[in-house]
Amino acid sequence: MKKAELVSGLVLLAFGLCLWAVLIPWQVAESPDAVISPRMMPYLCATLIVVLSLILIAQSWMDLRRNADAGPAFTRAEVLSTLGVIVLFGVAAALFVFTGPLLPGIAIVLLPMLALGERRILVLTLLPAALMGGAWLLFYVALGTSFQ
Amino acid sequence: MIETFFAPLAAGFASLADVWTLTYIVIGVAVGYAVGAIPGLGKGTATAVLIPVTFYLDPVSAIGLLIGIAKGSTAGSAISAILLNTPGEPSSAATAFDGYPLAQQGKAGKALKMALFASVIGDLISTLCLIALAAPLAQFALEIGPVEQFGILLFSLTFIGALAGSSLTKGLLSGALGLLVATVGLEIETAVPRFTFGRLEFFDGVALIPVAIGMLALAEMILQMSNHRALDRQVAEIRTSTRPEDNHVTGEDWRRSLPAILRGTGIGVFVGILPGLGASVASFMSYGVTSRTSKTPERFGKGAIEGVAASESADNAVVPSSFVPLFALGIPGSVIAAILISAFVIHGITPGPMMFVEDAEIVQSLYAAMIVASFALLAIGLIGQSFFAWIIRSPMRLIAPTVLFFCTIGSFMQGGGLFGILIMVIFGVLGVFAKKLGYSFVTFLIGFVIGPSVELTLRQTLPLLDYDAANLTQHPIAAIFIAMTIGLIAIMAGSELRRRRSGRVATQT
Repeated sequence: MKKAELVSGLVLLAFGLCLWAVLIPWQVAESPDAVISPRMMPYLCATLIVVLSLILIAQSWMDLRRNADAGPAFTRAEVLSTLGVIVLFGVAAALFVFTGPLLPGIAIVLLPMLALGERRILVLTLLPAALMGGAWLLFYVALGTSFQ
Repeated sequence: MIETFFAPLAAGFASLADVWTLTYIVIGVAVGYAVGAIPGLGKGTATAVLIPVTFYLDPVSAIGLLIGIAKGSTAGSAISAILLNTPGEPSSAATAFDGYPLAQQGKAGKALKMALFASVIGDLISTLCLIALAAPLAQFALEIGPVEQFGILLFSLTFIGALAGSSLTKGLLSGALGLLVATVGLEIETAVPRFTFGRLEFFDGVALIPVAIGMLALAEMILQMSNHRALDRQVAEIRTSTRPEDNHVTGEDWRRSLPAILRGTGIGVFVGILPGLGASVASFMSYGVTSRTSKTPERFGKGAIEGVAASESADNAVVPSSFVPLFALGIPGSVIAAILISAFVIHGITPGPMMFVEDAEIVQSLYAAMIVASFALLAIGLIGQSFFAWIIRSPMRLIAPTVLFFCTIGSFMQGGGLFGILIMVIFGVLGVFAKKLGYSFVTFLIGFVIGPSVELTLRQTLPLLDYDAANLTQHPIAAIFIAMTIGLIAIMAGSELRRRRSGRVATQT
C-alpha cells in the first residue's frame, strides 16, 4: 500500500510538472487584455499539486523505510473488474456508433450478468427487456426525447 | 423569530398542494430506501444516477424527489447493517455494532423499527434546524463581499480536505485536483479556452453529472463486482424470526433510547453544518458518547437497542443540516450537497444567499417538501420494511448490471451523448484509484463544484486588496477565515507528524 502511495505521489509529481512545463503553456493562451492572467488558477493548482505530491513522496518514502509494505493496493479481481468495465463500455460505444441505442443498451446489462455468473435464460431475457422497456417508456413515450 | 420560522413554512405547504409533487417526494423516499438498503449503493450514487430523470419535472418536484432519495437512502442503509452486518453506507457501520447482534438474537424486527423511528426523529428535528438557521445565515452572507467569500471558500475546502481523506496531504491533493478540473473550459473574464484540446464539448467545462456518476456509482460498482461472491454469501446467511415480541419496540426500549436519540440528533445537526465531516463522524461520535455515558456500557456491542438509536438518529440528522451551508452560502458541505447543486442549476436556481431573495417561494416549498419527506420516511419504512429487507437478498449479478444501465443513461443524457460516457468511464477508473489509495473523492468533487466560485472570488479579491496581503486587515472576517485555514493546516500537519512518530516508536519497540 505504501509503495502504491509512493508511486501515486510520483505520478502526481510528474503530472504537476507536465502541467507547468507543457500543458498550461500549450492549452491556455495568454490574454494581453486580461487584468489577471487566465493561467493564474491553473498555475496555482499545478504548484499545489507539485508541492503536495513532493510531501506525499517524502512521507511514503519514510514510511516504507520504517515499516514493511502491507501488500499490493489492488487485488487481481479488482484489476480484472476495472478492465472488464472499460472493455464493456468500449464495446457498447462501438455498437452505438454502428447500430444505434438498442444493442449497446442490451449489452450493458447482459454482458455483466453473464460475466458475474448469471445463467438462467429467463432472468437473462427479462432484466434487459424490463430495463430497456422502462427506459423507452420513460424517455421516448413519456418525455418525448431519444438517445441519438 | 417565530414568524420568520412558521410563515415561510405555511406558504410552502400551501404551494405543495399539488398531488404530483407529493407523489414524486414519496417515490424519492421509496427509491432511496430501497437503494440505501443495498450494500454499496449510497445516497450519492442514487441521486447522481437519477438526476437526469428529473430534467422534465418542475423544480420543487425534482429537488423534492432527490432530497427524498437522500433521506430514504440514509434510513435504508440501516437495513443491511442490521441484517447483514454490512452497512449500506459507511455512516451506518456503527448501527451494525448492536443491530447485527440483535438480529442474531432473533430481534431484527425490533432493531429495524427502532432504527426507523430514530432516523425519522433525527431527520425531522434536523430539517427544522435547517429552516431556522439557513435564512439568518443567508442574510449575513448577503452582507459580505468577495474577499470574505474567498476566505470562507478556502477554509471550507481545506476543512473538508483535512478531515475527509485518510491523510491531510492526500485530502489537499484531492481538493487541488478538483479545482484544476474545474478550470477546464472558457475562462470567466477573457473567454480564453483552457485545456479544451480543441474539442467543443469542453468549452462549457467538464459536466458534473458524468464525473459524479463515474466517481461515486461506477467506481463503487467496479469494486462491488470484484467482490460479488463474498457479498452474495453474506446475503445467504440472513436469519429471520417470527416471534412477535422480537418485532416490536417496547416502552422499556423507548425509555432507554429516547435520550440517545435526542443526543444523537444534536450531534448530527452540529456535524452536518460543518462542511466535510460527514455522517460517519456523527454516527460514531453519537454511538461513542451514548456507550460511555451509559450505566451499563458492557451491553454495547452485544445488542443494546440504544446503540442502534444513537447511531441512526445522528446519521439521519446530518443530511438536512448539511444543506445549511448549501442553502445559505452556496457551499456544498457534502457529496450529496455537491450533486444537488447541479440539480438546482439545471432547474434555474443558484444555491446561496440570493436564492432566499430571488427564489423565495421555491425555498419555502422545498422546506415543506423536506418535512413531507420525513413523514413519508416513517410511513414507507413501516409499510415496506419487510419488502426492503427482501430486496437486499438480490444477488450482485442482478444489481450491478442494473446500476451500470442507469449510470449509462445518466451520463449520456447530461454529458452530451457518448462523450459523457467517456467522461464517466475515465472518472470511474480514477474513482477506483482514489478509493483504493485513500484519496478523498468527496474533496475532489467539492473542489470541482466550488472551483469556479473560488477562482471568481480570488480574481475579485486580488484587485480589491491592491495585490497586498497586508490589506486583509481591512477585511477582518476574511482575515479570520484565512488565519483559521492556516491554523487548521498547522494543527492537522502536527497531528499527522505525531501519528507518524508514534508509529515509528511502536515499530522500534
